[in-house]
Amino acid sequence: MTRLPTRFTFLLAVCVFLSACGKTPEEQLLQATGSQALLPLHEKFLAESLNLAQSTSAFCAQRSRSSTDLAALRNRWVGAMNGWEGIQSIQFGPVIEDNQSWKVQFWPDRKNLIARKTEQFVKGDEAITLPALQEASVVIQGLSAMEYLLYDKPAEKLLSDEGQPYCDHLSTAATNLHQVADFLYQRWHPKGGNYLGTWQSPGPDNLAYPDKNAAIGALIETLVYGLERIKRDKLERPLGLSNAGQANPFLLEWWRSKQSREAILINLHSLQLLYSAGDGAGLEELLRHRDKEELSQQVTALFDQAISATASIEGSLSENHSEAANRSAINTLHQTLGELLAAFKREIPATLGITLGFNANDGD
Amino acid sequence: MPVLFRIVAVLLAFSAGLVRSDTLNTTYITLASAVYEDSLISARTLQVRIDELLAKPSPTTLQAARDAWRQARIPYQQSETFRFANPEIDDWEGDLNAWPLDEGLIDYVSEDYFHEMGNLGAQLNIIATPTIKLAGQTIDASEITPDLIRSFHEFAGSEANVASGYHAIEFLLWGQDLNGTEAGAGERPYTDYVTGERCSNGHCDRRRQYLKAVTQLLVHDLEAMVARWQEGGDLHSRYRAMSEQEVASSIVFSIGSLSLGELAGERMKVPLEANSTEDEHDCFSDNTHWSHYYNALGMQNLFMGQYQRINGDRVGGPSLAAYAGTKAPEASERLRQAMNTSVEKTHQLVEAAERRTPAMKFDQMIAAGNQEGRALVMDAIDALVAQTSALEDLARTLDLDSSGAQPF
Repeated sequence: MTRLPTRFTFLLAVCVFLSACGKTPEEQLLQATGSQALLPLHEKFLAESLNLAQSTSAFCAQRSRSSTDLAALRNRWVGAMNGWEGIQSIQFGPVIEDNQSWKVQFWPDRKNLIARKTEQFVKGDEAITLPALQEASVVIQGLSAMEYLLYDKPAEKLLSDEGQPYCDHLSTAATNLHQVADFLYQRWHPKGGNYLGTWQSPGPDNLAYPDKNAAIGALIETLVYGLERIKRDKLERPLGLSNAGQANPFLLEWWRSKQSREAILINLHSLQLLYSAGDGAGLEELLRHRDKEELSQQVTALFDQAISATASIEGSLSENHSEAANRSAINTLHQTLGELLAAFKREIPATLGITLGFNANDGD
Repeated sequence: MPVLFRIVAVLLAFSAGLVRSDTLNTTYITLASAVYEDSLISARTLQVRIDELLAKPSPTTLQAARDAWRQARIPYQQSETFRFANPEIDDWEGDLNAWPLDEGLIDYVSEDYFHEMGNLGAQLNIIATPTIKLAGQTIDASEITPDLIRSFHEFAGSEANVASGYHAIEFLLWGQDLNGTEAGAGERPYTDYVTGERCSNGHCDRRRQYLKAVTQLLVHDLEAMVARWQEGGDLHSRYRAMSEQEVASSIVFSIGSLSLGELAGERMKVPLEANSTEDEHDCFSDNTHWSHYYNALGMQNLFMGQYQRINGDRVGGPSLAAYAGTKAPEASERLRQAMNTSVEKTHQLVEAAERRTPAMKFDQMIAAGNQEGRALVMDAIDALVAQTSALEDLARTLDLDSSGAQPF
């Protein structure tokens, strides 16, 4: 008689501590993925873009700017770009309000709109202000335009007196980028717009997520979208893996700064985080609950394999993609992405009884 | 007698209804056959007009050819709703409607022409170059034939090397639109097709060859597609053999892909947000508003199981709307309304572009700072996004697989 309450108390204590008991595996998934992946990833982008905005305004306020200053600022830009790559695949929630993602990045930019429109804006009659920038073409508003300014022809001008208009654009774009990052973070955060809460509490009254499957479906669609973008847009098209096999490095992401490979690596880490929820009980754990231990492990192994194949690519994708050792790593990566996509598009939705929706990759 | 006759007629009609097993399958085949046949018929008319232009180049014959091109777009744009569920159509489509193109591959361009970076073929100018030397290769292009054009399509693996199809013909009829976001389309003179001394911009003989051959290709490609939908054709057989549920899935997947990624995304959101006239769909002719509208109408046709042919005839049969209406009445009704809205909002693009004073074409709508234009295009995009989400709801309710579980 005395043992029962004790055990009960113990269990209760554990439950309060873990705050997980009594929750269904699906609820745990939504909680863990939110707190371990979605929020921290957005927080990182916010912190890095603030850092970039501050550094850029300090850089542009200097009387004279050295190439060392420029190198340091480029590193800040890489930091913010990395922060962005961490959330690039997340295609639900605040990012779709007023098309936030294109303000950050316009790619692929086949006809070099970024250079042409940035030059027009810098040389135009209109003063370079935040409202003017926000009214202008999205291609000049964020990381993409900053990459052009920091790594292409204007980079040299930034170091001379005639470069002030370019620096003004750079610093306005950095401010705008920070605003976008702040908007996204605030809209997700429970203390702000609390989109996280919307996503985590599916139910009949929830228009966006009328049931748990709809919420989990959004997560799986994000994984599919992210993997498809890497496979098709970041590898196949620029490296000529399909079609007639002609590579066109100008289609690579971040070809000016030669950060294409790093971007893929960060995408994969963040997609894996969205799958596992770190130490939490994410999609990976839910599959185990549904007696799909093997599938769950297989997907984890495929992520590991894709990450290690990407990490083993030496040099930059634009210059070194055709070297034999890199060719083999790229082929492994490409094939692994195909297997991951098969899992996320077919096996996993079928296991969970989820019907996926359309994403912007459908179509051409 | 008349009464008896009427009863007999009713009985006959009734029994015909019983034996005729009209299904989603037969409707799908009927609509696809009709819309591709119409595309072919109107392409043949275009061919006649182009032959007349070449026989006697004049402002009148050029105008007639341009009008025929616009007419040919009407059924073709409605056919695109069949494209994404069928990899065979999607692969074939690239030869007919690929876009945006680096038109410098084909003919002369202005000095401030911008092409895809890294595209080897972007400034090839096939019309001006009887012997093409490229990357150590020498290609004999002394005669411009359908085969030669085909060999340059997607040349060097670049999708911007569009040598054939509607947009190549559009460029040959209109020329580059050099007005940016201001009023006006391409202004190619008819003298570009005059032989002898009055030939403008050089190489008129070769330009004539190109236009003739590229039009032959279009007709040829459409003939092939029409055959595939006829009794015995592979697509006809496939859609015969499918379950109705599979046909429903195919319709949902196809409409969803055209709606969201293609029409709302590539064809509207990219040019709008980037203020990029080079990403306009029918950029030489400024016919984009009609093309978008007929895309939306095509999707609605497929859902409603109806199509009005170019001769005015109406064809149709059991529809997904009816199929879904009994199983998921609310979701089906929401989709029906959403599709009405898409057709209405894309038609508003047409109204703005075709009104008398002052007309606003798509390339003007996407100018930076044009609030009215932006609102028109955004409304159309929003309607297509809403239509896609209504479609997803319907797919879930009917337990359809819309995830593209197709062999690609």
